[in-house]
Amino acid sequence: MSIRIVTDSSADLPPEVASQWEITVVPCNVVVDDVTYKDGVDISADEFYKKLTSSARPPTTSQPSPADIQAVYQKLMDEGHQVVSIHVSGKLSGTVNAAEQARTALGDSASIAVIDSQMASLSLGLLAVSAAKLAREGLSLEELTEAVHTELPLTHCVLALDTLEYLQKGGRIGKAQAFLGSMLSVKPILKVQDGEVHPVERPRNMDRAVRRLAELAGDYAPIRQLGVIYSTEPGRADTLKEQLGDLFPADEVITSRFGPTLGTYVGPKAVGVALIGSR
Amino acid sequence: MESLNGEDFSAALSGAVSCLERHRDLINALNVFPVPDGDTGTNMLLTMRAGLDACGDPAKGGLGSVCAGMADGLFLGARGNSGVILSQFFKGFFGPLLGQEVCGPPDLVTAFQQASEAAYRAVGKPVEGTMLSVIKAMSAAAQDQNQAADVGVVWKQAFDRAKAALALTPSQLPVLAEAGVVDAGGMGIVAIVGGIWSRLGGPDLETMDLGIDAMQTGGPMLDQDFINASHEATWGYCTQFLIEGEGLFLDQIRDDLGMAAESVVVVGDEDRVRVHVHALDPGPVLSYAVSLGQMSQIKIENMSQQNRDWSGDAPAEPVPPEANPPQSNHPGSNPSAEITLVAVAPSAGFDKLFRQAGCAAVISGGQTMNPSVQQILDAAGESGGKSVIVLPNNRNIVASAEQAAQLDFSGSSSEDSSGDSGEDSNEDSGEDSGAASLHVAATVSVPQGVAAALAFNPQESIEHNLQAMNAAIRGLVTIEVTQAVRDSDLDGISVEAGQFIGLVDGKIVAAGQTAEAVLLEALATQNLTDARTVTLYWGMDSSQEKCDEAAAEIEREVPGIQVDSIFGGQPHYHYLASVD
Repeated sequence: MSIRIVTDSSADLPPEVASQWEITVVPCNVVVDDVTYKDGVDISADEFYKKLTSSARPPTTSQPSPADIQAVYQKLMDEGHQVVSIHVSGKLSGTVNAAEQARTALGDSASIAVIDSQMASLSLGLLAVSAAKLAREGLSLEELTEAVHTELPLTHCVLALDTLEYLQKGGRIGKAQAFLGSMLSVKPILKVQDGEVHPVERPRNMDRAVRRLAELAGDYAPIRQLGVIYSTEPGRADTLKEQLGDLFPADEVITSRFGPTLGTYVGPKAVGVALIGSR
Repeated sequence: MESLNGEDFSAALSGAVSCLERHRDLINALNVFPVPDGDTGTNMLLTMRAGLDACGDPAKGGLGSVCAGMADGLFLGARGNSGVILSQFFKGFFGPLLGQEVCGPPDLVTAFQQASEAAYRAVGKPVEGTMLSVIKAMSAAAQDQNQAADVGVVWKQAFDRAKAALALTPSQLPVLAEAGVVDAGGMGIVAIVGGIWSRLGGPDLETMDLGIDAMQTGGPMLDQDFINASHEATWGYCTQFLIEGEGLFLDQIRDDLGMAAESVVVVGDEDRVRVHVHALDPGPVLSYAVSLGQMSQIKIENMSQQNRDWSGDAPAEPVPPEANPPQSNHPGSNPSAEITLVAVAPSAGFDKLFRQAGCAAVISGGQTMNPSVQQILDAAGESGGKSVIVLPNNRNIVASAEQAAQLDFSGSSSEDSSGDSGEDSNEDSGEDSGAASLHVAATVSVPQGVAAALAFNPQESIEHNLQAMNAAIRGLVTIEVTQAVRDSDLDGISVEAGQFIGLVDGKIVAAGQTAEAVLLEALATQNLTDARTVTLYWGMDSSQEKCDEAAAEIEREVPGIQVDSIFGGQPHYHYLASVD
């Protein structure tokens, strides 16, 4: 009996990586100009960012329904799998709640573990990939769940935004609101920690911000998994990847994009680094 | 006299203060750069005054008590680099005298020697041709007087050799020779030692020769303009206005105003003239201006008041937070915060900017008003943090901040708390666990301070913050635009008094007739691309419109570049700018 990994689209996993590791991605919903889209299914990142900058009202997101998740679990169980389901921080989204409801609905006999990653975006994605690797090594459901929990505090996500506007409009600004209200133009660096968004520092431009992301990632070395992520400017991600070259082999870095769910909050021109480190 | 008692020495130290008072303006004017920042004399005077105020009672503990109190007062009152070195000089000097009723010549020899060693230790990279050389020469002079029978003779020798060493400073430090001045801190030492000697058998201060004439005849010349400038009244009313008229004649206006005021700067053309003067009474100046045409943008500030405000004996009064009181969502303003940030700001504009950026307390000070160690400690205490990071934001304030970092906030020296052992003196052994600690991010310009403040994160450790701040400062270029206070020929750029000059990281790169042209010229020395950010902080002598025009010009030259125009409101500097 094998274990399969389930996550949600806020993990920003590239589809080829998800399929390589047989990870099922449950789409979150994004509402733009009163139309509801399934993240990664009905709407691509390019389409989304075009709408984001032109839409009259800020887009909103909603978690997948418990029924959607239950259907995914049911299918995997029918195929004879156990499930480890890892999701975006419960402090940022209700997805992990929905997953818990789906698990409960399937009854006690269902072999499903639901984990709150305390993370968002590709750092959640990296946790899912890491779990999938361990699953192939034949760990039991219990062992695997414990292994993921061990990795949670070693998992980090640091982002540089072009503007805090989208995070604020989306109501997820949290502690980063300390960065609002300066007369100076800044490219705020934020991190996800303990399930929430925290302010880090405020460089004045993206060049400096990208350099700082690389330096901050170095604080967690040696690094076991590394990903870079961007919303609209792949060149920034390439620069970041280059600057991370000393920390991790470039050909093993996962490059990804903030999908519509995360894009609602990080906005255009954002770039970030996700990693599982040693501390 | 064969020995020196507490009473005599206390009187001698007040002689040193009197002598500094006499020569403060001259020392202030001994300034390498023609920028309005010469305040070495003021810094040394205020430092010495703080020492004298804390002087112990000679009737109670003799010489030792005088020295112990004076050392503490100097330490806390130290302002500017020269004040810090001075406080360390005396700390070393007083060392061998502590606990003594009186001292004789051999004690003084040891004192001079330890003073010299302490002064050299106070400076990271000692440079000859500065006050250190003068201090070292005094130590050597004292050594030669080991057999002297009279303490006055030791001081006389020290004074003579100090004068000789001072005259040599331009030959040791090329930048002094280029500017045609001797070292200002060295001059301060000469004044102090001369003042002491005057009360220990030397001539009185009126007739004492501090060697200023020798400076004019031998070696580098002090030109007449320079001497005149040094005699200017320092305080009064800073009066500024714009005259609009017809056929205005700049030279005539300059000459006429020169009769009634000091620091006269007149710029403009036949139709519009901007005037800046320091006048004891602004009335006649305004009447004169009205006779020429329409006046506008009139600004009058009481400089004596400003001076009292920051030099007073009372602890620093931080500039009130104005329209923007610290809010609870600002990092650092939490009264129970672990780490808080404190900045030195030269104006209300920067006060607000620093508070917005997360500073819990702001010390009013800057280029021409260096806060004392005590003022820095008070602000650190006010900030409420268990650990405090101080942003000095000026090359000349870093040393006082670092001196403050040697103390805990209660104001007693952590290394020698022997003087007044309070109830908590034997509270903790080894590491001062839980005690408030002060750290310095050595920002040498206000724009650097802004960058460091933006890197502040109260949730992270001190080490992380200092590292992040250093990373933010690295690669940041600071540009300053000011008006030359005298003619000079430095770094291959010849400058006339009243002209605008542009400095990049402290080096003059441009001179010209308008602040904006000089600003743009200075910026042009940088490799500006669309990946960079230029921040312009306009000062009290500039305007939003002019700053916006300059910003637009930069954006035309470098499409895509980010340029911020921010109100700094700083004195003396029409523009401060940074390139990130």
